Amino acid sequence: MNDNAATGEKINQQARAWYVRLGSEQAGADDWHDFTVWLEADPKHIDAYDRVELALLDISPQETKSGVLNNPVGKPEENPSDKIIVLQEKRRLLKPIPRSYLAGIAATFIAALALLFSANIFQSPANIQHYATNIGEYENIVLSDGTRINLNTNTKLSVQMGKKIRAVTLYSGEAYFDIAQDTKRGFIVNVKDTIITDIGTAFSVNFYESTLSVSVAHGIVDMQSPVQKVRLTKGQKAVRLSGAKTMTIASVEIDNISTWRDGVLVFENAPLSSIVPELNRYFKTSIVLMDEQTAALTFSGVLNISDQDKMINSIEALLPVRVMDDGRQILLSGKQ
Amino acid sequence: MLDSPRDSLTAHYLKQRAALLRFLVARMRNRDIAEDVMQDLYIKLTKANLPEQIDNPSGFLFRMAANLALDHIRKNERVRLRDRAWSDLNREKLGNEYLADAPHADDALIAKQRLAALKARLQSLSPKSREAFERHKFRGQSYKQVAQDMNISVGTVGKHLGKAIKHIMEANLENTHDI
Repeated sequence: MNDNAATGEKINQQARAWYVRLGSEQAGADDWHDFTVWLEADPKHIDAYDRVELALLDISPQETKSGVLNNPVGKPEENPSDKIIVLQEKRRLLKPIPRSYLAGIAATFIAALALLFSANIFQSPANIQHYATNIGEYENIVLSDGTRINLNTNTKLSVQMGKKIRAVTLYSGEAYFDIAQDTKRGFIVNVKDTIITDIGTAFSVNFYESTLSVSVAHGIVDMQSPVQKVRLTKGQKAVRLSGAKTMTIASVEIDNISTWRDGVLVFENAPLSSIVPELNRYFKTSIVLMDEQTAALTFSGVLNISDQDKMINSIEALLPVRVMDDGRQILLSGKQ
Repeated sequence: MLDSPRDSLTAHYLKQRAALLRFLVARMRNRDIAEDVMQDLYIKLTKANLPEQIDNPSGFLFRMAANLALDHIRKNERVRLRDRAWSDLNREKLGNEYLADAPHADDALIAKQRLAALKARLQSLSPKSREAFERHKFRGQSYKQVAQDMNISVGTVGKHLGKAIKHIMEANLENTHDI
C-alpha cells in the first residue's frame, strides 16, 4: 500500500467513525462541532463522508414507536382506524353473494371451524396472544418455534401455538411470515373465511378493505376459501377481492414482496389512484388526489415510506403534480 | 409550565444558529446553499410533526440539518443521473415521449439494485454486526435500544455498526464505480 492509499483508508475510517458517532441519540452540539472542524480540515474528509452517506442512502429506518408490542395488546378493536383510506369510493367492489353459494360456504365454514376447534381443544384461550401496530409502525415478532412474523403498519393479528397446530388470525393489515419447519404441527393463517395453510415457506398476507392478497416468496402454500382451493408456489400471488367468491392468481416478482420491511415500496407503472391508498396506510396525514388526470398518472419507482416529506418530495420531483399541504391533508393536483 | 418541543427547538435553533450554519457551510461546501438549508430547517421546525418529547434538542437540530443537507446532495445526485440518462437518450435520438419517463425507471432500478446488493452484502457479515445494523438502520432503533435488546454495551453497538458500514462500503468499491 502506498502512502496515498494509506492516507485514504485512514480518512475513510475516520468518516465511518464519524457516521457512527453522530448516529447515536447521545450526539450533542459538541460532537457536531468537532465534526464540523474535521470537515473543514480537508476537502477529502467531505468526499469520504459523502461516500459513507451515499452508500447507505437507500435504506432508512421505519418510524417505530416503541412500547406497543412489548406488551401484546388485549382484544383488537372492532373498527380499525377509518382515517387511513380516503379513496374508499374508488374501490366499490362489494357484490352480494348468490344464495346458491351459501350451502357451500356453510359446509366449508363448518370444516374450518372443526379444524380450529381441534386446535383449540388442547389450548385454553389464555394462550392466544394479540399483536397490533398503529399507523406508521412496524414490528417484528419471533414465535416460540422460531417463526418470524413482520407486522406492517396498522395491523392486528393473534397467534395461538397449539400442540397440533400453530394458528394465526389476521384481522386487518399486512404481515410477512417466515415459518419455521415443524413436521408435527402445521401452520395456518386465518383471514376471515379463508384459510392459508403453509407447507414450510415464507409468504406475505395483505388484508385491507376486505381484499385479501397472498404472495409467496419461498415454498408452497394452500389457500382454502369457501368455494375454492388453490395452491400457490414461489413467485405467485393470489388475490381475492372484497365480496368476490373466487381468487385470481398472478405472478409476482419475489424481490418486490413486502419491500415495506426495508422501508420502501416499489411500483412499476402503477396509477396514482392505486398508489395513493397504499401510501396512506403509512401516515396519519392523508394524500388526496384532486382530479382525474392526476389520479391517472402512472409512476414507476421506489418510494420511501419512513418519511412522508421525503416521499412527497420524490413524487413531486418525478411526476407533473402540484403539492399543497393544508395542514390536515396533502393535496395533489395537475400542473398547469 | 414546560415548553413545547417546538418552542424548545426554536430556542435552541436561535442559540445554535452560528454553529449550525458553520456545520452546513462545511458540509455543503457552499455558503449560499448552506443558507438555503438553514431556511429549510427553520420552516421544517415550524411545520414538521415533532415527537412529544425530545431529550437532546441540540442533537436533534443538527440531525435535522444533516438530513436536509443530505437531501440536497442526493437531489443533485439524481439530477446528475437524470442529465446523463437524458443525454444518452438524445444521442440515440429516441422520441420525445421517452425523455421524461426513462430516467424515472433508471432511478427505480438503481435504488432497487443498490438495496438488493446491500442486503446481499449483509449476508456475509458476522451475525451480531448484521443484527445491530438491521435494528438501527432498518428498524430505527436507538443505540441504547439496540444495546438493551442485544444485551451488549452501547460502545459495542457502535463497533458493530462501524464494521457493517466498512463491509458494505468495501462491496461498493468493488462494483459501483460507474454510479
